[in-house]
Amino acid sequence: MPSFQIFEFTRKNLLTLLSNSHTSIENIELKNHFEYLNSYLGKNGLNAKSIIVEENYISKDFFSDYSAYYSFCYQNYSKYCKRLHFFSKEFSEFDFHTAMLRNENENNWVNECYLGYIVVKPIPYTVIGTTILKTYKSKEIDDYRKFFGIRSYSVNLFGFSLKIDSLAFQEQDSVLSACATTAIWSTLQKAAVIDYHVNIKTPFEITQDAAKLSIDGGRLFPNNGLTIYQMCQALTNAGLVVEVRNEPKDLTNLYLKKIIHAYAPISIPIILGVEVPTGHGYGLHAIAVSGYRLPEFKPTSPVKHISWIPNYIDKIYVHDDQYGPFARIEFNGDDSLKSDWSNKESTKVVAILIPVFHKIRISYDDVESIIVVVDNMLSYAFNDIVKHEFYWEIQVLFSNDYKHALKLSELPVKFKEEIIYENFPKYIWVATCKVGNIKVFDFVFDATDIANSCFLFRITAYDKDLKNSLKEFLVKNNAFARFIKHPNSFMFYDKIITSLLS
Amino acid sequence: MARLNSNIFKSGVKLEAKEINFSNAAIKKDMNELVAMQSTILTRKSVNIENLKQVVQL
Repeated sequence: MPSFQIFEFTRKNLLTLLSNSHTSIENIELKNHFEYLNSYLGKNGLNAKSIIVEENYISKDFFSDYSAYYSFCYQNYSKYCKRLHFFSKEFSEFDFHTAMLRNENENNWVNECYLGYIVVKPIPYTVIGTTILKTYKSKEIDDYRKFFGIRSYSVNLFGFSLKIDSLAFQEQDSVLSACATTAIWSTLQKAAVIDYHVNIKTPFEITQDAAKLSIDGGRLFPNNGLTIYQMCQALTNAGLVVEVRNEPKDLTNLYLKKIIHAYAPISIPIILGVEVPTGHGYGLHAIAVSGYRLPEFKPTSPVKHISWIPNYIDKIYVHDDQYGPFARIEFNGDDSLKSDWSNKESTKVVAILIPVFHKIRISYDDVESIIVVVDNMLSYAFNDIVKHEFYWEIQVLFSNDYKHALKLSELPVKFKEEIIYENFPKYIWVATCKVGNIKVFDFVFDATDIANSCFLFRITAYDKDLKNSLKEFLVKNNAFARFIKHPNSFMFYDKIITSLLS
Repeated sequence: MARLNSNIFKSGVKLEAKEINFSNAAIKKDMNELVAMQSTILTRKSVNIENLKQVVQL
């Protein structure tokens, strides 16, 4: 007799299956998570048709929390969870059973229609454990979404190894973890697969890494939240380093877009501290950004100020432990956000925590301060003769990814060879300049260097005439060097000129 | 002389390296603004220590 049950995906069935002996269906229905997940998995989302229930499932994350805390309660909490698997196909028990007995390579309908799972924890109210769900399909022909924070998971089910691209989510249990811990937990899920120096940790371990005591001097567990400083400590103990931006006047939506876009290529989710309405004022909440949407834009004629490609980002996707995975956030002007939290009142970012690998020492801002001068030079030199505005994007990349992308470019083979065989630092900042939609320059910086040094590594020019003309302009107007705000400004200026010679 | 890329340049234009008069008042003002902008960009890296103590708890 198979030890699983099949249910049709309906609101009522999802409600029943998310409840447990400590939490009633009525209470589940009141949770934001339920409405969010029902909609995410429903007709307008992943369009789930069936649910398979796997009983007596051991979840590593819950098991760690269980052994550290729940097992010491007098109340008899189970160590076993149940796991709900979602499929985009209706099938009978016989169909599924037959498929399971076959070799997974012979019959892959199970893999094709697999949408992911939700672990239901056997504790009161905070039942949503590790959740791995696919990102939903875009309704547009061109998918402008970029989910940089997702990874591949292998889900073991009855001898099958099901593959899914996602980022794990779970809600805080308010005992061993608050939102700060769960945002870090999701972030580490991705960072650990990119660099083996980073460790995946359970919520209990993350909170324990953050501090010895609660902020009020009381005990750490049950946990009432972490300070931004403690969050940085937990991330550092996991093997990352953190760049913090938390000066209120600087945290505009444009800056937020630029930062998310800039650090996306190293694929580590970025954590935001957001001020959200609580019904009786505002509170601080943590979310993990794993994607953004950047639609195409229509280039304008040249303008005086600098133009940023990430300014066109219109949505970001976040793991919000009070709602669910890949929740959409839109921008409201330049200083507030539209999210599930903000029905009437605004939500705004008060801190950005950028987890990076320790060798990335040059920050986005170091590069931007150089690029605003370069844009100024280009504007003086060419604004009256180019068709469109100069558009910029600045991103930190693995140098190997940059070389890979160059191979696919239309650069002459001679230049490709020159670049791919050149020794590069592991991490580079690439400031790409386009005239309208045409790429004209990559200013490549060594991300592992020291901010006081001349950290320009090379310039890749895609248009020979523009390159030669810029070089002549710079030679003729070397007084520009005085306006680069850098301890090595003259050397920087000379490096730009010599990089344009090759 | 080879033709310029028509996706980048307006038609009929010539590439000539201009000389900027840095003593011109408008350009001086522009350069001062450029330096100020760089200072603003670089100060974004400064962390507000007091705000690090804010508790993230929702």
